Amino acid sequence: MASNKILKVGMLTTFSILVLAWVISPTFSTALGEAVEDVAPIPELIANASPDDYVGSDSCMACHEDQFKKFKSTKHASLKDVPSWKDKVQGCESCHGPGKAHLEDATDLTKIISFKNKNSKQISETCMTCHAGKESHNNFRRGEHWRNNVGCTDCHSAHGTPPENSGVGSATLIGRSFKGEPPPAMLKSNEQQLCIACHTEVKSHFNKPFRHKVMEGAMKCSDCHNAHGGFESKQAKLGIGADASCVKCHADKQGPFVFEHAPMKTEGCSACHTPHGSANPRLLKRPQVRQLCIECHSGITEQLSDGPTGGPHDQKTLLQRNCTACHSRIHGSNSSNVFFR
Amino acid sequence: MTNKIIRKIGKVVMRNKILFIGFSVISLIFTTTDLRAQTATPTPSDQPGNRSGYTVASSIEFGVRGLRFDGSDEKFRSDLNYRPGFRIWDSSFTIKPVNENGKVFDTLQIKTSGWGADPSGFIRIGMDKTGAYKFDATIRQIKLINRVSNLALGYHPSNTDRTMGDFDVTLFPEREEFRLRFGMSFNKAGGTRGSSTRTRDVFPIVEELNSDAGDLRAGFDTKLLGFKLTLTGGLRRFDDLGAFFIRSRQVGVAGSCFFGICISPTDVNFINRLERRNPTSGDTEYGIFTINRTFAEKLDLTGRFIYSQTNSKFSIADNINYDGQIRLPTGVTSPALFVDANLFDIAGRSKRPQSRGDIGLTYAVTEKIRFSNTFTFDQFTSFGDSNVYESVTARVQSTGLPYTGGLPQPPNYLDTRTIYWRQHNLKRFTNTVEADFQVNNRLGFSIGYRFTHRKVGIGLRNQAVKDLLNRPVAAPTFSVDEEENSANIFLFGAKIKPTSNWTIYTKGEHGSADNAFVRLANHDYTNVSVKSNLNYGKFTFNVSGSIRNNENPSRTADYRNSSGAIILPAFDIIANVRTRVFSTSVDYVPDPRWTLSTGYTYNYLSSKTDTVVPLSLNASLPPNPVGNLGFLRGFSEFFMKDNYFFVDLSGQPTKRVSLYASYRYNNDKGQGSRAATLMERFLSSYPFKSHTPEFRLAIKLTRNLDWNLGYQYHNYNEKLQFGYFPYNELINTNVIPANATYPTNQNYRAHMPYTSLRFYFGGGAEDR
Repeated sequence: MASNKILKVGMLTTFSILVLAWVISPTFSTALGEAVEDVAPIPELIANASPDDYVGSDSCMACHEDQFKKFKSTKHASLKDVPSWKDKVQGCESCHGPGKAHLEDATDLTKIISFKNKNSKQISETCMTCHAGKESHNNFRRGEHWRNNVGCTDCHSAHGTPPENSGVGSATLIGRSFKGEPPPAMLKSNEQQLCIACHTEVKSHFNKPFRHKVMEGAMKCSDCHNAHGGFESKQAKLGIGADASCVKCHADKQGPFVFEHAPMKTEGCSACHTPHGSANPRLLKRPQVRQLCIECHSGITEQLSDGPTGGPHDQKTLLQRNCTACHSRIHGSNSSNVFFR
Repeated sequence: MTNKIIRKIGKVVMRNKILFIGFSVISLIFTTTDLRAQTATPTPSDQPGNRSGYTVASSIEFGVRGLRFDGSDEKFRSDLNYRPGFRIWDSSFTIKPVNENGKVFDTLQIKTSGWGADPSGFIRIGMDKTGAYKFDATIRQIKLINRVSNLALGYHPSNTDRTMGDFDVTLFPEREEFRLRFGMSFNKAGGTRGSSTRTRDVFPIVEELNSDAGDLRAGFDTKLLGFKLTLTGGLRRFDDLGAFFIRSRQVGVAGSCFFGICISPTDVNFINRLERRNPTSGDTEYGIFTINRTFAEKLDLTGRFIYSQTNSKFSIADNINYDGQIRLPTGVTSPALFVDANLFDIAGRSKRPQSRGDIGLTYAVTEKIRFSNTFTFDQFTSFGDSNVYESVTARVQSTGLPYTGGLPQPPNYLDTRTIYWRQHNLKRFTNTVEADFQVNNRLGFSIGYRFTHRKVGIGLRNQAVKDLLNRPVAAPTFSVDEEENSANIFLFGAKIKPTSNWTIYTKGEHGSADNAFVRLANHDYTNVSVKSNLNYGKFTFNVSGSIRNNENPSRTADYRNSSGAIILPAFDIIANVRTRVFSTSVDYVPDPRWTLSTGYTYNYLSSKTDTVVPLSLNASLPPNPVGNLGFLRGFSEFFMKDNYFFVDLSGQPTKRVSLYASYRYNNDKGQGSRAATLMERFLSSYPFKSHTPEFRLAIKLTRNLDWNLGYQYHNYNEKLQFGYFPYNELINTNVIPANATYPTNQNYRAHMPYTSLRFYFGGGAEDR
């Protein structure tokens, strides 16, 4: 049996390596369509530029009118009015590099920084030049999105998001279209829709009977997660100091309690709760609390003498299947070591 | 609150029908009138909404919703709680100076949705002036109702309102050298919710929720010697003035019947009155310092240090009047009593200092190779004390005389005092090393290794100060439990881009989780997920799948009877949780006027854990440690097999007509055909099915006015039945009683037509 298993694992590994090798080979690209070209390293246009090489954003307008029109109303464009940015490169050239050479020969794309053939990490490095340093952005280079090559421009539109079309959506749920001004932070779409466009599996959780009201608009993904990375698992945000973001709203669960349910602080709320959605009104990971409890407390029947009927925790009984009927202060209690009061 | 399970199966005829029809008629008249007058509508001025150098763009949608409903109102209100009547759907107000730079602000935007009308709503305000400030405010209101009867014996319903607000202002937001940040938040919760209390028996009680928290924070960002630094300090305070009541004679759970099953008709206890005041207040002081610098565009350094301390103080005053017995410390149960006053006076405090440090380093060896190291250290200590005083004043039911537990009089009451100290601490450090290779634009992958070491300690000290029967108090008891363990995790991730329009993401983790506290042992797991995104012409295809296996091992203690004899020796047990997720979606955008999005997600979860089933040696009596107890090794399983399907269509068939149609379908098949047919097998699931179609039509009447007509339908069906639960429903019997109706399916169907008008004011209308 053991040799069979080794054989299967070996065959699977060999198959995976062959598929991977084929996928990255030029023949695969030829078979399926246009391959992505390797990009040249980021040109050192900026490093070698002199002040005379910068011609200003207005020079770009003649050829790139559409981009310029959108860009003009963005925060990026308004930096020209900020005193602290007076001596810095602004506008189009702050990302695309000095424009003089490009203006003289628009056909030579090596004379301007173009992002068309750059990968997400390379594009993001450009953004991070200015946006690193804020607490929320500091860990982008170690975040899940970075690791998976999801870059800034996958969610943000550096040139500005155009006003939404006249599309209509649900009367109760947040849709892709937005009314009036574009979403903040130059996001390409409403935040909730932007996130679930990739995290499709989460969409089903928000259709469970009980859920945090994210798709209803009362909350946003970024209330709990930091899309720009972070030191926490799942890119979760911290709430108050080093506490989980959950206790910011659920203040009565913050503690500290004299008698604490230890996993609450040590593991975090998601040890028992599934915050996106559940069939349980308390957003428990298992709709019936009994199963959730005994996944850790399998030995509950050891407690022989203190059950309400004078017997052990007999899970066959209706009462003792509902653990929180007695252990009602399960997050923590100040007077009961078994969370009764 | 009563102990009755709220099970109202009724029919709610469409409410506000007159209002709905009236609004529809008015809308139609408006439509007809406006369409006729359309060509004669004067062209707005060149700069609509331009007032005193500002451009205003806003819209508001209001109308009326109908509701025709049948089924469980409790479940409908728990899930959705949409109510009929007039409402404002949402509104948006934006004001900008014409020349892009205003004196006070460059942009002021206010958005609302569902505020005051839906169970959840928000107001968001954004205001900024480039170079000067940026202000953001969000106020949310969430009303939650929970009247699900199938859980916690239906004892824990709730009807609560929460209002939360966050206000943040940044001064000089674009100045890298110095930014100032100020913020405040508040959080209020009120309403009632059910809870339960256990004293001799278990009783449902009502909690009047009154919780209030708020925090103030301030900080600055600066740049010093090339390092970008941030420092934030904050103070949070919280008050919880929760009070608990039983206001009328309440039977305990042992004497109650649920879903046709009476637990123990002979063991009846009552509480006549209970009042518990449990004020708790506290504060948290915290500071967060971060540092970041990129050296020579090669080495990125990020550090963070957080210190916080939370203090809490509390008191609990319980006053209970009940009929029943008292179990004395001697183990002897009193005769039947009238307990005139069972008083608890408890006071104490607790605090939790915590410090956490993180350092991340990423070194770009070349354009394509990066190495990262992330180190995290976290430690906290929670400690608190609780001083518990209890006194009992009771009369013997049979004689009417004061009950003294055999003590000479006076006193005619029994009292006891105990002081508890508890401490809980954690020290944990984690180090993650990762290497990231961007082979070419087609392939990038990363490998990593995470090591975690953790030490957890729990200490307790109990000291009796006054014995109930005035005996010499026992010596204080101490207990310290410390556990230390290490965990290793291997990480893998890859992004493959076979063609310019196709991307495959994959990642995996395998090892021992560092987050399985409760068994103080490692928690083996494997997570693998793959995502594929393909853009083909006007189509976008997404496919993703993930596999997660968790194994959580442990060992029982010996199972003994009351005389200490081992009935079942200790044995190894394991909890095994398997999760499989498959998700796919397709987006089709044939032209900017039409979008079609559809998808399917399958969520599978199985949880199987060993457990021990107590048995009655004498089947005619309940299991009892004294002479009537055996044990059987068993297992408990839970299943979820959830199928989710959706389709969304939005389009604009003509310039004046927009439409939206969607359908959402959930079908959790639970445990399927599995049934619990063995005494030692527990089997559970929560199978349900829901359909939610929605249709909406928007007709542009004028440049400033849309008429919306829509319909939503919610159909929810649970499929709980006897075979889905352990068949032994009663203590002491394997026979399901003929009158048993448990569990109760809380199903509903709700039709929600709506009609509304959306007005556009100001400059926003001209772009339409």
